[in-house]
Amino acid sequence: MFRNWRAGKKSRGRKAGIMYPAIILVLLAAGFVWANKGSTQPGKSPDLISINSMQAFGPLELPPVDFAHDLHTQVLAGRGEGCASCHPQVKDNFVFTFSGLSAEGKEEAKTMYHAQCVSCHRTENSQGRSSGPLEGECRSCHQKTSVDKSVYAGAGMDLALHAKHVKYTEDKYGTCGTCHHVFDPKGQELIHIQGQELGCRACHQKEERIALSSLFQSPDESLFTPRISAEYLAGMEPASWSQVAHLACVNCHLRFRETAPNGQGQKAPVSCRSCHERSEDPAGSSQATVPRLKRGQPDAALISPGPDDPQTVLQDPEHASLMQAVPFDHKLHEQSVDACRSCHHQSRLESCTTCHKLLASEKGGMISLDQAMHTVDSEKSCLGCHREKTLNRPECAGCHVFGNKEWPQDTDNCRICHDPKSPHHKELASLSSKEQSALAKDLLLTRGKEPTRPELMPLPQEFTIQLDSEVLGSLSFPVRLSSQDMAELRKRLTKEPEQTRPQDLIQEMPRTVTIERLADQYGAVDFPHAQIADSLQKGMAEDTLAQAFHQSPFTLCQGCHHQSPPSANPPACASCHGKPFTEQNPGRLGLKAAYHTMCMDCHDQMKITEPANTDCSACHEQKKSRIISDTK
Amino acid sequence: MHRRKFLGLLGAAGAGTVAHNPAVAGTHAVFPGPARQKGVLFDATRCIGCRQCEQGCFEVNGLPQPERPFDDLSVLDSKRRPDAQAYTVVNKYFPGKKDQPVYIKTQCNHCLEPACASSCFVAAYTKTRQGAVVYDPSVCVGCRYCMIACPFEIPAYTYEQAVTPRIMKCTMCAPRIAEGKLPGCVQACPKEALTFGPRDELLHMARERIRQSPDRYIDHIYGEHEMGGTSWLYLSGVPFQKLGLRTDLGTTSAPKLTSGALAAVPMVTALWPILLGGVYFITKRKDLLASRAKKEAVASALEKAQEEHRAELKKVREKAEKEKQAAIDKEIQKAREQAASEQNKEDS
Repeated sequence: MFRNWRAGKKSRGRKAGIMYPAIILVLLAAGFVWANKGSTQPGKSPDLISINSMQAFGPLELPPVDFAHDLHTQVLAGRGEGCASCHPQVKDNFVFTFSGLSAEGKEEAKTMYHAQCVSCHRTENSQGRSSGPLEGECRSCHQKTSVDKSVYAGAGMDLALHAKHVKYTEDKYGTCGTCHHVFDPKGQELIHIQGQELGCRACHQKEERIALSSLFQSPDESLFTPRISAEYLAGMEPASWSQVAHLACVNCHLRFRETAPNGQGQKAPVSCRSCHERSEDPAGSSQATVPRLKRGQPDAALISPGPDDPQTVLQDPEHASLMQAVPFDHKLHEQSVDACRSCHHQSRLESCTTCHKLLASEKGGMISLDQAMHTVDSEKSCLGCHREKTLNRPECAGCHVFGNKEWPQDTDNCRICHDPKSPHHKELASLSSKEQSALAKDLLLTRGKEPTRPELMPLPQEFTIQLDSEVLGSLSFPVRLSSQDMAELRKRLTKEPEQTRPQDLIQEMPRTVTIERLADQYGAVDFPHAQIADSLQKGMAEDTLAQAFHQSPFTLCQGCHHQSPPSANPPACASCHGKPFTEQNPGRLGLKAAYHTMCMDCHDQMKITEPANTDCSACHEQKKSRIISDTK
Repeated sequence: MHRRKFLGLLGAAGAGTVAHNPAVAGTHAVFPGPARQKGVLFDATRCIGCRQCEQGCFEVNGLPQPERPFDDLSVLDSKRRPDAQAYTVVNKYFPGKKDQPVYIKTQCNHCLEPACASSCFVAAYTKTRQGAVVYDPSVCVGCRYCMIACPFEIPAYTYEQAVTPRIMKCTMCAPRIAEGKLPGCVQACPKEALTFGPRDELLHMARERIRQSPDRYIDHIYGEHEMGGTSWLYLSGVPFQKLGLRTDLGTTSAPKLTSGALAAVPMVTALWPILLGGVYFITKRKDLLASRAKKEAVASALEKAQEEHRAELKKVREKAEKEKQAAIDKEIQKAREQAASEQNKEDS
């Protein structure tokens, strides 16, 4: 019944007529089409599969069937039956398409589904057990649902989950090749090259599924490498991600459940829900405890346009002045992302500048290096990811919610990444990647710090001051400094510039600020100024992003005292916010709204629920019934 | 004239008026309204549901004291509509997560081309140059057509006032605006969820907010085009239908929807005497022409008959003449022959 995918593929373009039936077959073989993605919501389930593959034959006569997969596996498992009840097995591996069958026509497909589903239901029913709908109960399965009930989260591998898999598989197989493989065109087979592993999606990108008839040539305990026939592989495109993920993961999990000792196997999930239900921490362990993956990646790298970039100074002197190279702490970023593909999209573990050039090119998806790093919308770009992190962390979001999306960073912040001490691109081009990495490491160590002072020259204790005056003639004064003076001089010259620490700043700032400018119906507010600053400071103390980008201790103050340069005496709110809706600044908030917006929006973002925004008397003393005071 | 023909003529006259002269409808493709007319921009992402706007409205408009105080926020748990006691109400919706309510303030939207005003046959409603749609109870006859016409279901009626019932509706605090003050609700809002200003500027401001925070807002300013545009504008982070706002209203103002047909009414009325006179004239003239034609036909037929008769007579006469002549000639011949024979006799 399977039709060879290659046969269909070869005829593409020349004989499109053959192609379409092939696609239809493949779609049908796929059997299920996962419905809409989304977060887990009550009443919705990630295991609902909308069986709508009949669409391949034209408009549906009846609504598609929402098939509750986990319910069926549970019932079957209760009777000691497994995947084989519905899924075909090829060389010891299950193929996760319904029955693996495909039909030539509409009627055949319909009969296939009905025969398999209803016959099983009937058997159940005849044995006195509760069963699914039987013949004639069409609408019990074909229900029209106004909402798409199937919601599932993508079940990708992240670093924490990866660490778990490494722990379980290394005893048994001892190699990354259990899962990681790459196609070797010479030997026409899948091989594993240690240290060059890529994520699955690097090759398995396609959406469409392919027929798997000849996929498994030799049965083997684990799923990969020598088991797929060379003949099949030659000229074949990698299967779709969702197809291989189910094929590889679930089959391996099933075997693991059978073979693992001490009941450990039961930890390997096989139900839809266990992988596709969205949870904050799928692997149940935090990123910090995950050991670093070693694949020859640098600890630090210098991000600068490569020497092969046609726009670099080497190729094009017109572009002599570029932004300085960015020393990038790769090791630090590994700890703060979920997976390599958080940045290395499509799991291609290569440098950004391999594809993203100074000018947009086809290779880089028409995204220039500048856009790749600064596009605020993209979660793969530096700015986009940093913005998301600040907005997702309540401790940061309180202040950062007020940022402008277009350019959320102060332009003064450019130099934080684009290190002014980075050597010129011409020099960089002559360095090897290892040398660049070492240089980046050095630059990162001194980033944002004052350059170290040179050693103090030995100071003479005795010297002569010589004066040449037209009136007085030549004069000379011999000077001899006391050892006390010498010590004082030495002390002053070697004194480190004073560094204000945020803690000291909080000590010196006003403890409370009484906000009484607008006191009328409500009384003045005793604003716990230092307490708020202190809690903000504590919230950001451990944050690496804050440490890197909050360059001055006064950055803390800028959270509320925005739009003004960092200083110990920032302007009060009323300096800019006065009457609302003025002709000069119609968009600028009036003072009352400025106070309330700053406090309430910050509280909302920081998930501070007390006092409630609507509880006026929690902050103000209510003095009298309001008579509207007219400000205009 | 037949009845069917008459009705056909009448229909043609009406259709002609509508088809050829749409300007009489009094609407433009896009009605901009008076320049610098005022409006209010409500930003649902700023509203905290404190009901201060309701209290502000109550205070400046001297409305009746509500049953439950304004700081009782449990009022928000049930859906409300502006009524005869309150020009404006705030409603609470949960369009997304259960713990993230979104509030929306409801009041008259002060349409650029108000349906209420177009439905009112005593012109109790006025769209002022400042943007407010105001109501004059002194001319109101209490037909309550405006309540049916309003797509936002805003005008309310004081049924409980037996003697002087009237419509109650937000006035955008038109008297306060005239004094250079802010509307009561805008004045009371602690977060500037309500922004007061010229409508065109508010639109710019709203677009700017969307541009600067595209993830905070949906890209739609409710009221910019709805029902031909309203002076009250809305911004939100969730689709407006989830906040109980109607999104099925289209962008055509209510007056424009009915103006075509309604504009024909006065035209037909004006044309009535001309039309009927014309019909009468045509009928009369036709009768006249017919009788004239008949007369002519009779006359010509008579003429023809007479001509024929004359010709016949002439023919007969000529024939008789000929016969007579022939008879004479014959007689003469006869006489001549007789004479000749007598002479021969005599001679012989």
